[in-house]
Amino acid sequence: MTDSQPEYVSVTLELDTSWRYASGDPMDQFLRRVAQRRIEALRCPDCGRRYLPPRPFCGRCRVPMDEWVPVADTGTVVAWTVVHLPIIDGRTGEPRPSPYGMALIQLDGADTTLNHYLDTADPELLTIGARVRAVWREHQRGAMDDIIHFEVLP
Amino acid sequence: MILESAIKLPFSYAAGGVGSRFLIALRDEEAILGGRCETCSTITCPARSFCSLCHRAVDELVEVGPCGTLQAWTEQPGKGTFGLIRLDGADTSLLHRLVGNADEWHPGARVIAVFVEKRTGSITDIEGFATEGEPT
Repeated sequence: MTDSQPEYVSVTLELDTSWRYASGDPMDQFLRRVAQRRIEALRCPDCGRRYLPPRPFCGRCRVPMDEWVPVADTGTVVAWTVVHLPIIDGRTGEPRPSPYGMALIQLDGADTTLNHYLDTADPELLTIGARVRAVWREHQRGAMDDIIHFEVLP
Repeated sequence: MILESAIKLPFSYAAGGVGSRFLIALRDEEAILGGRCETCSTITCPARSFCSLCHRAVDELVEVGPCGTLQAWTEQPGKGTFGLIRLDGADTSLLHRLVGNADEWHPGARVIAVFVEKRTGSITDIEGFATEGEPT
């Protein structure tokens, strides 16, 4: 570098905000069942609403819930989208490769929707009301991503 | 059950005129520069483009260190040990890694900068600070 042409430096950094958190008791029980490919929802003793993902309290009746009811790994698409500008995947801390599908899925036996990934291999099949099924990983570790995504049933 | 999650945010920023001279000196000369305020004579390290006491622009850079005195330190499990180092000739402290074989660190310990071989113009061109006199 000559004196007349100073060199300027750009500083490249990565802010890594990794964290650990306690799942809480309902999510702990839920994920232990997921590890065995079982899905269960928490049912409100007052209004009967079945929560999936499980929540400790019914958001409508404000009462604690502890009754688990079985839920299938099949369900119905309530809303869906194809993501082209990915958000950060909380598992890796990095943007998920795009495009990918996301859907709110009401599993058979639940009254709330689950936010999960949707297989977009056949875009023709994507529609509100489409029937879907969970595609499980070969080995479960007790996490929401033990389900890779949901595939549309033909 | 303990769950894990992460967000990684890559970013870059311009080091600026004085910051660039500081980083280039690390890279090309293994030299640590402080910025000297012409009003109050305070030498700030790392060099900054202004004096935070006088709010005056700083343009004069002087070499400080590579030896210094440990002011304070802490250990972050799994990440390493970090210290505030008052380099000889500087009036402020530099935050950096503590490296080497020291069994325990203490305020007042004499330390020396250890440079990496392949330097890129980054604060990590200094690997860290080891106890003075330790073979590096």
